[in-house]
Amino acid sequence: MDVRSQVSMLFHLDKCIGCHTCSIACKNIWTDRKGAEYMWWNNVETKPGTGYPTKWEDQDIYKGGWEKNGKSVSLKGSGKLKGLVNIFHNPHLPVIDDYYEPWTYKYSDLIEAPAQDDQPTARPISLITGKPIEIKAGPNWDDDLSGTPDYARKDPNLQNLSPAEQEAMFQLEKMAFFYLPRICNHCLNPACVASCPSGAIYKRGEDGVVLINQKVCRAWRMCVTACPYKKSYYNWSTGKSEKCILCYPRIESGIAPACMHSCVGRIRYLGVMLYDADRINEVASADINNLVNSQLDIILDPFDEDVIASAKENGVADSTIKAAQDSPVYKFVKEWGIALPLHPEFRTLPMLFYVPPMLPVMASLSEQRNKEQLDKLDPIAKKWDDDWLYDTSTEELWGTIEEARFPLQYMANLFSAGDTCKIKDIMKKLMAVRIHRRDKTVGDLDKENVKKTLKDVNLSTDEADDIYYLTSLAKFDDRFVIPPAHREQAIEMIENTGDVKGSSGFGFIEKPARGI
Amino acid sequence: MKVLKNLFYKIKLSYILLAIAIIYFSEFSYTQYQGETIFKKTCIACHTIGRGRLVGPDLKDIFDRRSEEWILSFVKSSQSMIKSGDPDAVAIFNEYNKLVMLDQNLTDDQIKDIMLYIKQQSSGSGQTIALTEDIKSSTGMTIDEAGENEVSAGRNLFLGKVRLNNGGPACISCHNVTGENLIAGGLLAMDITNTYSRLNAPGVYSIMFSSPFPVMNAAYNNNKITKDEAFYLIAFLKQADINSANQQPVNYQSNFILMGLIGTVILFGIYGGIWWNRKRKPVNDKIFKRQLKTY
Repeated sequence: MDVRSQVSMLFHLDKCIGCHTCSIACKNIWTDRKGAEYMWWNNVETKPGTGYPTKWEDQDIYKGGWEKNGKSVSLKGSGKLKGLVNIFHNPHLPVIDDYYEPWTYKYSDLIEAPAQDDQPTARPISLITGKPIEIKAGPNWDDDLSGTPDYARKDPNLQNLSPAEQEAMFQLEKMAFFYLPRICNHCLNPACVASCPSGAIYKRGEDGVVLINQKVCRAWRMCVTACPYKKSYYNWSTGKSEKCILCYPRIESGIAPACMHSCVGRIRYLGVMLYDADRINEVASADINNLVNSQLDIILDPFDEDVIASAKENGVADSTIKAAQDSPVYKFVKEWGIALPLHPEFRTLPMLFYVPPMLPVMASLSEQRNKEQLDKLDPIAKKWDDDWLYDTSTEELWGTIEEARFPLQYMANLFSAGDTCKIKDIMKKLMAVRIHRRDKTVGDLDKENVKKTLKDVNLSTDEADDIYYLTSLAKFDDRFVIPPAHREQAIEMIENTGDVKGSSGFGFIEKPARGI
Repeated sequence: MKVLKNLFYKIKLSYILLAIAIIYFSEFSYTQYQGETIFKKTCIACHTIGRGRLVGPDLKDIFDRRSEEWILSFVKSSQSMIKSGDPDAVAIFNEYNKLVMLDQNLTDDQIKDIMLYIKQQSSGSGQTIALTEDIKSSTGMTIDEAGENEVSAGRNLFLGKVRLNNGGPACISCHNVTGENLIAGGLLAMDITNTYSRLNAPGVYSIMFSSPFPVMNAAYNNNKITKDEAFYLIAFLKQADINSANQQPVNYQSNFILMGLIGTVILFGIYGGIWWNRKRKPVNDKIFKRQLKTY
């Protein structure tokens, strides 16, 4: 057992209102620079939809992530041999049009234009070429309300859905959607690190943050291809690749990352998880049916004596172990089991977990004859002439789960590598908590039924209350349990980092005689 | 006393005469020596004195045929004389295969020294002067006896497959010989495919050893071609000259472009094969194309 600590994240999708405050906070701090304009280290996309960059989930196009290769895994689009063959021509790179061409407006024309017959306008100007452009796309182009059929119907997660299920979604696409905020997953088995020919990308030992060394990066852009989440971006101005740094300067000083700090819906949680690094290879190459379970299994119980002892042996600080014990992420993911990683089938073992959204899934649409109601309205009142009712009430306890607006398969494609049972379990748990809270606060439900729902999903009332508390009432310190950075113990303080300099890249090469 | 005085005068006179003679003769032999040095350096590659024509005419008794002024100006710049239409100069130019005699960077005095030397050698008592006697290999083989082995040794030397002993550059760097099994040579100097029939063995031989062409002279001045090497090269050139009569001209210049084009097609074919499934266009291409453009 090789216990290490990982600062991991949890996004509660039921709470996301899609305001993009996180994206703006991140942009203002990190990517408001030349060459980085098109980057959104944090972006929020709607599902169903093709996301940013467009169709990033379709690895037949971008060749990101790992694929199972016998007993182990190999990179789909890069790696030693493929990387070497393609090193001067990386054939699966996204181009700027796959993201979007960033632009601003020529505001100076508004005040500096000479007197003329027409009102001056601020034309859009490309932030790359500096010339006027026709705006073709943006990071959320045609995105809300699930966008046009061009975007929603091309969602790669729709595969494996029966034609009937797909048809149902297409009928509903104009009103059913949810938001999916995404940042770098700071994976346990990061494809970007594995793909880098320069050895510029590394996973920090103390908290598992994946970083790109800007001095070592040689712009091969293998990481851009390799990251299946497309969260490594190439800066065309500096000639280096960049990615989300989980605001490590903030974390080190005990402040939550900017996107999490600013989150209006308070959907974001951050906490330490302890994991067994010895098992990464085994877990990453697990059978597809067992993928999610084994990825969750690698996370260790921070209260277990053996785990604590082994962690201490590895130099994990006591304060970090304490943070792991208090971690809200651990509770959601392991204790309550209501959070899953995004696209575990990419086999990078992402450390960002999502509580799947229930609302758009659980409600149903029914046709109503509202004539009576309409007749009661004032004659000058606006009358809606549709007959649809957005209905969240249920006859049966689990009725809406079975006949969900979003087929469970769609959610399963996103969060559990296609396993609908996992999603159903989580939905039931989330539903049970709501029923339990309704019973507590309103008290209009049949007591027996309430007990039965909790028993069905193996939740005690205390646990249900805890879930409710951490979901709805959690304060800043409950949501962000940030371990002290212990910079005084950082490797560069106690070891000469020059000892390992030059031993990265393709295996352990011999250093040139002239030195590095 | 008178006898002594007479004796003294006689001795004095003879001393004076001796001194004059020494001065006179040393001056003469000095200029003669100068002439010999320059002749052997610059002229001997193409001319003989009394040994028949080589690249250029035999210079024995040249003064019976031409005036000194004519020779002087011809040596200085044969081309300008030919251009000015001097009948003798044109005749000589045509007679000797229109081979240009290079303008010599010599002063009038130096040319006169050479003429003095030629005059002296031309007179009955003088020796005949030429660079070589008969051209033979170290084993005593003559050019006419040279067989396939010698020709192939010459070809290897020409192509640079075998290095010249003293490190001189391979002939092909500057010269082209058209023939089978030969790649196209350099274009810096003459095409020497048919040089053998124009200059014959002694001509070629003398140019190899004491080239009148400045660049070739500089190239081989410190890296002399050995006698055996010269023998093989001449054997090769002779064979190349004979073969060239039946030789289809190999034109590498146009083939080169063609091969380049074919190579490019093959190379791009390989690239296309390796990256056949590359991402060719943005995923939104169709959407972009459908969008309305305002400008």
